[in-house]
Amino acid sequence: MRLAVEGSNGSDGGVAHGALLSNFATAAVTGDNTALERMRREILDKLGPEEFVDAAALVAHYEKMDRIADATGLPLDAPMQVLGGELRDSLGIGKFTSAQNTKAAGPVLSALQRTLRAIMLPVLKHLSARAK
Amino acid sequence: MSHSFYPDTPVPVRADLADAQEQEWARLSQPGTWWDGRERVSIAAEVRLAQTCSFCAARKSALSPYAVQGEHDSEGILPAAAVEVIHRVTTDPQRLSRTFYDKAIEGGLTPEQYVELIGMTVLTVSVDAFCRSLGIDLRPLPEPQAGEPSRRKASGKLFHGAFVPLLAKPDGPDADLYKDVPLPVAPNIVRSLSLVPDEARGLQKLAQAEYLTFDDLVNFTAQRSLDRRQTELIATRVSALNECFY
Repeated sequence: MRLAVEGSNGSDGGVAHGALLSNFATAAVTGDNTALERMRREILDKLGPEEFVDAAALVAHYEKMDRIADATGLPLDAPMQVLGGELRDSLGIGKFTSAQNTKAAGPVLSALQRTLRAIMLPVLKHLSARAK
Repeated sequence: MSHSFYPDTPVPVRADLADAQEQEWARLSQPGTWWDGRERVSIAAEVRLAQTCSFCAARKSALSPYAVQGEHDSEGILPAAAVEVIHRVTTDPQRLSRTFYDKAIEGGLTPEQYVELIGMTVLTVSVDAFCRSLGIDLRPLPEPQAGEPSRRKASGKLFHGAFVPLLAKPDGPDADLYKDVPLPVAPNIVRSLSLVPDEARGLQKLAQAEYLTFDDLVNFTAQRSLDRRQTELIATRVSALNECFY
């Protein structure tokens, strides 16, 4: 998660070819054409043509969805708010302008969040391990 | 074998993905719900003009986008409030705020016009980003189709927790809007453009081709050629660069 939020320092962050994919996304979004050309060749060499197309499609998709979410002022859905609170705090994304679209949790909701996270996180970790 | 929408790619594009993008690109040229075909194609043209707009560049480097005065480099077909929305959403997505939305409405746009404008803007941003990522030329803009916008209002109960109203419980001709979502309640992102149901339908179609199908979203073992962790890494990296909290 930190690799995705802060960008790659050469580490794959436990994801196969994570640094390469992170750098590809960075070059595509920032318009760094020199880096982008290099990343295209690397992805084709190391991953393959289908993976290259799917990586480009994901960049395209999130360039769209991020703008929709922020231009329409979407608040986080309740389940996302409950499960991701501490993670969002640790990543420092609460400083984003669009964080203002979601009301901060009060004491009751915060307590509920802690309880639900204790139940749900092991389940999600199990599902994540199955996806590896 | 190459696809008619992508005859020039260095690698083949999945047919379902190329089909979805081609259909949405064609829809761009047709009369919509609140904008006609000429206006919708002009929205796409403004997205491309924004990339080299000197006013956008000056604002992007300013502490506040409202600290710089000037005019956008524009085709001059759309109202100024619409041009402002398109250029800001394209070039400065990190600083879209309630003030930005309120100014668009004060500038004369209706919430429905605003939602359709966002739909067409992000479609163009997205297809252009795909082409740039692949290293191919941008798709030519389609020829506008004649006809009047339908001006049909969304049918159902609205939720007012975002900048724009969202359709919480669609009914009548829009009752099918969330039928493919395998969750008890459709997430806000699925409902985001629902004030203009045809835009929400187009978004669903494209999202399922570019990312994952609705069924695969809740199946953590589902993936395309990239595994789920690689998929979410790219998603999160792009969203972090765009400073998208959602």
